[in-house]
Amino acid sequence: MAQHIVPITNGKGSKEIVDGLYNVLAEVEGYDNTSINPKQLNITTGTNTYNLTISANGTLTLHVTDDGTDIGVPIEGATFYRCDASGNRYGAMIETNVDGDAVFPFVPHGGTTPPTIYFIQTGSDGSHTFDDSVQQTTMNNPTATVQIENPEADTRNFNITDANYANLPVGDGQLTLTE
Amino acid sequence: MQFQIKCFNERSLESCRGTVFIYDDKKKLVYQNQTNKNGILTVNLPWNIYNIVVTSKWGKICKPVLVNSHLCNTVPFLFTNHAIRPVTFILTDSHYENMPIKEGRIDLWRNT
Repeated sequence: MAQHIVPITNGKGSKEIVDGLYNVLAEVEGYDNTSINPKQLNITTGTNTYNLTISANGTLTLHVTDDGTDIGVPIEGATFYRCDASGNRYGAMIETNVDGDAVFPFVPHGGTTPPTIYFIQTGSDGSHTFDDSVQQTTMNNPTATVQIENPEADTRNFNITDANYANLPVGDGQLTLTE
Repeated sequence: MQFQIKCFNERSLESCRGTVFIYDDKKKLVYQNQTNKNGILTVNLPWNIYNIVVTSKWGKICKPVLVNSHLCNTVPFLFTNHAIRPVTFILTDSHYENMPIKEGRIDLWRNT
């Protein structure tokens, strides 16, 4: 049996290979190499591109609080995506629960050089601010928690006066602001 | 003088069956046969200069071979993959749609 090694960079690799049925093995740091799919490829004339997938089995928890510590006030409703270094998003949006936890399943971990995991926050609960830049971490172990700070937003003052009587403040009422 | 012709791919080192044509110095076809599935054909020819042509699924190679006592036992015919189109493999994360795997490799073993 002849072996063909195909290096993969940014999800793609090419090699001159004759038609035939091939068994497929993967070697990707941080991933479960037994999860390569498909495990057999039938390379045939006329088809020059083949798609494969692989999965990891780590769990990354982003714990969002008002002070970025594990004892801070948890923020519910903060939203995150996994992304690449350029901010391109992949997979479904993950939202923090009542404990302030956003859980990403199936993330890569371990290996000599654990792969970098990029993520981006796209929202908070409306009364806390957040860093919307691409953030990153690596995981040596199958589970990890990263503390994320969403500090309380500044207090804003709203004055409402009568439109027909200059500077006459309105007694009681309520304003509703919708983003 | 007995020697072997071996037909294989210089990149993958994969052997293959090939057809061998041997012409003498007067361009007369003096021998024709196929290699076995391991790419090997044993030939017995008198000392002379021969032009040997080997065809395989990877193409065709012609080269002169001097058959005498100095000839090595095996005459290699190294084919390249130039005639074969490149195959592209796209590897993504199965749980994060379209997320490319930044770095890694896949190994393909011919299932014969």
